[in-house]
Amino acid sequence: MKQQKTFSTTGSIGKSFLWLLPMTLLIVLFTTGGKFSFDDKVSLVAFLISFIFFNWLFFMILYKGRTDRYRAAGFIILALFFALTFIVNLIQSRGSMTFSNETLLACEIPFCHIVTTMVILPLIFTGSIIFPGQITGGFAPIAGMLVIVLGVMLALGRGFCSWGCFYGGWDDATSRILKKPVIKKVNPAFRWAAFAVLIIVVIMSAISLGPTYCDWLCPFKAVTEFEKVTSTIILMKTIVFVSLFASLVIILPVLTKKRIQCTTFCPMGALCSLSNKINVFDVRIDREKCSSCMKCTTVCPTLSLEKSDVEKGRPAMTCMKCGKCIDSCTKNAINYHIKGTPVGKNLTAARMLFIFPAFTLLVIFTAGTMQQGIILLVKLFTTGSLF
Amino acid sequence: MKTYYFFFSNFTFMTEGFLLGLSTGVVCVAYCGPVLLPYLMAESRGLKRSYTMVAVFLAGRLTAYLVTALLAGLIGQSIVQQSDTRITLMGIVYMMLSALLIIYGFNHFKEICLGKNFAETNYAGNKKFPYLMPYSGGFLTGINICPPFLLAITGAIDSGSVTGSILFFFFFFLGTSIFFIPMPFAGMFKRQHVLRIIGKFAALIAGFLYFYKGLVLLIS
Amino acid sequence: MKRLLTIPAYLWAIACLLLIPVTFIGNESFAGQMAKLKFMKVNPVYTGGEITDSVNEPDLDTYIYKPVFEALIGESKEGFVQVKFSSPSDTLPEIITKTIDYNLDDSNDFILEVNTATGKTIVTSMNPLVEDVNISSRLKNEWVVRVGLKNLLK
Repeated sequence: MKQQKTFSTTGSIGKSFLWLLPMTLLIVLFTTGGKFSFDDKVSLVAFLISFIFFNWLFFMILYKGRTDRYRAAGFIILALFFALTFIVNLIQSRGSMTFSNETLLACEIPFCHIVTTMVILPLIFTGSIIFPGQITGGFAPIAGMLVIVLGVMLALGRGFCSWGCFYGGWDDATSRILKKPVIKKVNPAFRWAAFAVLIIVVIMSAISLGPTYCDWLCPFKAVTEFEKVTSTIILMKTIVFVSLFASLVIILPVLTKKRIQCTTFCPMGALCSLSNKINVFDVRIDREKCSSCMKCTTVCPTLSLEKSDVEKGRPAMTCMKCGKCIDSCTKNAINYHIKGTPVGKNLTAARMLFIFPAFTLLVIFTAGTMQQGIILLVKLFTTGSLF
Repeated sequence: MKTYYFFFSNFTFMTEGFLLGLSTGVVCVAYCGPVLLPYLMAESRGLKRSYTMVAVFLAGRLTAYLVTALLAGLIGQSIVQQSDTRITLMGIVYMMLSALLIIYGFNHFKEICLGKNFAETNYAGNKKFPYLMPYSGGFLTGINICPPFLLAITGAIDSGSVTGSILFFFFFFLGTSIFFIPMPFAGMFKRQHVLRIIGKFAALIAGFLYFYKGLVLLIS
Repeated sequence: MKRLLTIPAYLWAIACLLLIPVTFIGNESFAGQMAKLKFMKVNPVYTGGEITDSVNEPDLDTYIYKPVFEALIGESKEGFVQVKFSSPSDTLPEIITKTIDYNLDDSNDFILEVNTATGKTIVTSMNPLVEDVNISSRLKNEWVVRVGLKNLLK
């Protein structure tokens, strides 16, 4: 694949290393947390593994000129290790993955980014946050998470869903298990389903003054925390989220090779899609180079590319900027693009300006989690227990 | 914990009516709008006249809603007086209507807009009574029996009073009407197929959530 | 014109590049500033509201909260009042029986009986607005009970 001209790093070890250097500094910063001291040898080893891993990932993105497969490696590790460390921490502090009335009354529930969609309308009308969490302090406090959501949405738009979301790696992983999809055709109309979920949960949450998606629908409670089953209603809720996890996160992504949960059911994804409209980065198709082979439409994991989108020269607003269509294009017709600049020009600059903040986000979310996860795994192998 | 009030623990008639209208108004305008718009635009000269037509159309819708609200309120007052019966009855009604909403979401049938035919009618009295046709059209679309409308009836009956029912439907009307405001701007309908898709998915999800509500009522 | 747009476009992209590390490095500071905003408070439905009265005894402190009738707009027709029991010695009595006047009108509204060992809680209503127990739970070294109320205004 021929990249553009002088500044392209593809195939050039020297240029790739040069561009890697600033990222290395960021990786050091975010893997050490600014403190270059380690509690023990295991922590040091965990740091070294994560440091080498992220440098290698970014180097390969630069050297190979491909984004998606290396992004996915980090992204999937984020999802797996996040679940591992979160669950272990929960069991150590509470004794189980469940939360009870006591946790709710103490307002100690971590504020997940998906809750953002549900608090906006009540915030406007009631001047308060409808979530049993801490404003500041503790793990994932409300103010801190809102700052992160706002910053990331402004910077990357729906790129958050491919580079930062610690849940997305689940269906990203399951969608890659099979080489070919069993269900070959998925109606592209399903890409709008998440907007319906967004409308409904926003409205229901506003009416009930409670986070409806979290309470009734979130499939990722299966890998984080959930309500202790003490009544038939809670049992029903448990059946619902386990079924949704099994179907939307495992079974359907395996069969379709699409990120079904993120595409059809995530209200935060829909909100981030709206932010794509104001985000400076997007993906564009150079119609002069495009041969209309439509390969990109088959590989897009979020149904954001269909024939009409290719003809228009851009994916739908639901594009997560994962880079899969870019990597699949044999004519180098699809690339990251900066709005306001000509399409098909200065491709390297556009790519670099996007993947730097995107990869930094991936490092920030994954580094600490990965190191904690490695420490836990070492503990498991050496002592036979995670606790 | 009282599960009956858990799901809508802070319910107010106005808010729920408005938000229900907002969630389903997308479907209303996506189906009825393109049929009515050509008539409205054909008869209008300029933006002011267009908005006058839309306002008359909405007045027809409001009349239909208030008539329905009155009936629903009377039913709510008379039938649902006993607390235990009420809860069981509402549970069953919610489950039935949610089934309808789910079928509506899955089904590909063309929504029949009751106001459709009037737009094609060359009514001789058009010049004498220029507002009669848009008002009638509005009234007919207002009594269009679609699942969101039926859900609104259920919510109104659940209020247990005529006042509550009228309030519920008035704010339901406001919620749906927001989507009719941009109608004179034809460009709005470039993406009406997307609105239709979102509306159907929303109906599906709302159906499942109302099913749970009905089930919760029955269990409690 | 197109060339004029490219400069601000690239500047905007560079700003986004910087925004990510700045968001995280400065997160504590930004969050602290955001937390000072008026609306950055958890809704009383979750916090239980504000304490309006307290009764301090040698072995038990009782805190009565303001009734909560939160709704998106106005007030809801149903709500709750939170009562918290706390012991100065951090050990709660096994059986707590208290008569509560939640609206401070000098007339008792309900009697609460709490078995802190089993969690069994009984509310005996003396006011038609008082309903049943919504939640009764230990909260660290304290005990919290939420009793359902009907709204007088609805």
